[in-house]
Amino acid sequence: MTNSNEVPLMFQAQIAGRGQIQYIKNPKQSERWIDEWVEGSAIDAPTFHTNIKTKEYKITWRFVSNSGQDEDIIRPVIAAKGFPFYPGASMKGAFSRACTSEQREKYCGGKLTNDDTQPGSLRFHGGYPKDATWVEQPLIDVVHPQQDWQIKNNDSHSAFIQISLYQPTLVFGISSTKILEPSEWEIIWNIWDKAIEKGIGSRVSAGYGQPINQPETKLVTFNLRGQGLASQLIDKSGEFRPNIFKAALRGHTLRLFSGVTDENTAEELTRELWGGFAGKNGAVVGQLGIAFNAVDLEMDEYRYGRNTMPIYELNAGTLNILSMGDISTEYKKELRTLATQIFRFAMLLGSFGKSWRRIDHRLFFPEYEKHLIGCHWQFTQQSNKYYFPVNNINHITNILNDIHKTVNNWLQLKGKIPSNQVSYWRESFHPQKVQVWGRIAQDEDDSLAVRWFHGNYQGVKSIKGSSLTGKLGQIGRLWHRMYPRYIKTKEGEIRRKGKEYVELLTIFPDKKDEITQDFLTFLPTSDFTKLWGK
Amino acid sequence: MTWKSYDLDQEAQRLILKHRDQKGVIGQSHKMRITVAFGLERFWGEQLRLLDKEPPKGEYWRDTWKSFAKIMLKAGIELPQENVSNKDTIKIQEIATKLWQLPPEDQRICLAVLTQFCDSLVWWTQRYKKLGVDDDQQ
Repeated sequence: MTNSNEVPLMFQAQIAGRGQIQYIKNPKQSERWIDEWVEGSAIDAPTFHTNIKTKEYKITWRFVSNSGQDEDIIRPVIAAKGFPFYPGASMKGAFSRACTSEQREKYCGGKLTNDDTQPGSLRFHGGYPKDATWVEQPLIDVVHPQQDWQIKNNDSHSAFIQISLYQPTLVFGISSTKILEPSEWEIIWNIWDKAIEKGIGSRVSAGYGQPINQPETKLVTFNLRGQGLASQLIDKSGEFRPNIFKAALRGHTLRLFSGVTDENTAEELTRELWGGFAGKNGAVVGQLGIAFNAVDLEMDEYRYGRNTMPIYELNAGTLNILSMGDISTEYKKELRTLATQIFRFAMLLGSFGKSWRRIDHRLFFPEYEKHLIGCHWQFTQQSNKYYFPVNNINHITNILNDIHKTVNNWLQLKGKIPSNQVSYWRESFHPQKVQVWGRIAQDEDDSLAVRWFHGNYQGVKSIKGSSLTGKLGQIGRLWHRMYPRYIKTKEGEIRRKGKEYVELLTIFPDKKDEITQDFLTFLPTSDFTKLWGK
Repeated sequence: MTWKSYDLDQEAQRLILKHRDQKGVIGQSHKMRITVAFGLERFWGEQLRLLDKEPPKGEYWRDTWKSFAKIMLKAGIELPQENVSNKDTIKIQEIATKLWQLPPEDQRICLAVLTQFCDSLVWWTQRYKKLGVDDDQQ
């Protein structure tokens, strides 16, 4: 007689008390589901028939092909013998979108005038992982939308579980009903190159399902290095997750738009750019996406006392911002300007990933030896030109005005009405909601403000643990950044000025908070100058 | 033994007519047909998963299960028919146990009938779905 608790989770009711795979508070269930899947899955990768042409593509990060079969969990399409699979029908769809109309008719078929359909000459067989190594990687992927919490208010936010493949190499198969010349196969694979470049599977704009090369869709490339706390997967192992870039950029877009227009328009424009859910109108595919390739990445652990935390050290990586739709050259130019400014803004005032509002204490406050706090990001040599040169500290004012202008221009391009009303969101980038303060720091040891977070800033006065600095479970109202100081020489060259940094504090003051008001009264007496905001 | 009709098709038609007025509901028939492959418990459990989130869909699943149970009773197999709350873990586990304790032979018969029943539901769904109404799956 069957013990109902031993029945594989797939066959159990998807409700509390039974096999609720997606329930994040009980990850044991999803781990068990994975085990049950992997255990029954074939060891040898499926191979295509010899008359099918194949080509391999490496995916830079994660890949998910949502089967859509279980409503509460996103898990891959699973083919015969248990291998994850990118369906041929999806492949055909992506391929046909990358075709010209003649190519589409020839390869994919279509409707004839008399309502009759004509088959195309190609058959799309989908894609499989090249070998069985995908089972050795962490498959459970936590998706954690937290924009409302970070920008607008302290609304609750919940994570959910998704099953995705980590850096698989996928083999795709195409066959033809007719024998084709090698030159024609080259054309066909070129079309597939173009198709896959937009990403395959789900969540492509967040960096999922991206191949390494994006010659066509690439809008702008940033070469980066950074270090900080890594995200923790459900099994507590660390992972460098490229969707931190999308999250940061989407967040900043919303902050910047809410500084020049009303909240609804800000959300609408952000959604149009980065995609998202539009209530009854369903999901919107964004015009921008990201693809990240970690060129030189080391994962490690940080220890203090009995605690260990996963950390990353990215020595080199390439972030591509992608243009996901078919757009005019003119529009593309505008989009590039906007995306570039938003990214430069993100680099100027903050960083990416966990603890992005704080500087990396290991670099700037090595005496501090407790929890790891903060992260630090820089452009690498090839992307130096994206540093805002700061010959004089007051240049920050012009830089922020310029960014505001770019955002305003976008508003006009979209035919939206600028509004000077002040948003009720906590982190709206409006001169009446935010203040940016700055000073020049001589070197790494010269961060003035970092000490204020851990002791008194003047006499017995302190902002430590206040609503301004935030604490566990509560986001503060202050960002702190050590931005490498670059200057523009007379010859127009952008180069680093010694070991200097621009130390920046971005504050969204709570006008009713006394500690904040005291601190703002103190700031002008310190080395900091107010550079932006009222 | 003479031929006896269990009126699967008529019962399916009745269910579709009863639920077709609510948006997106009878499109669940396709999901039902897929879910059969995962066995009786998973099929039974869907009503509870949906009743909280999307009550009209949950009601359709619940009705379908009850009709199915009545049909099976005519054939001599007893399936649980009582309404269970999503929060009543003990009861949920009790029913799961009951379903898995059915003799394998009976389970197979149930699934064969359920397959046929869902095929009928899908057939009527395709005829009675309202034009322009988003049924999730068409």
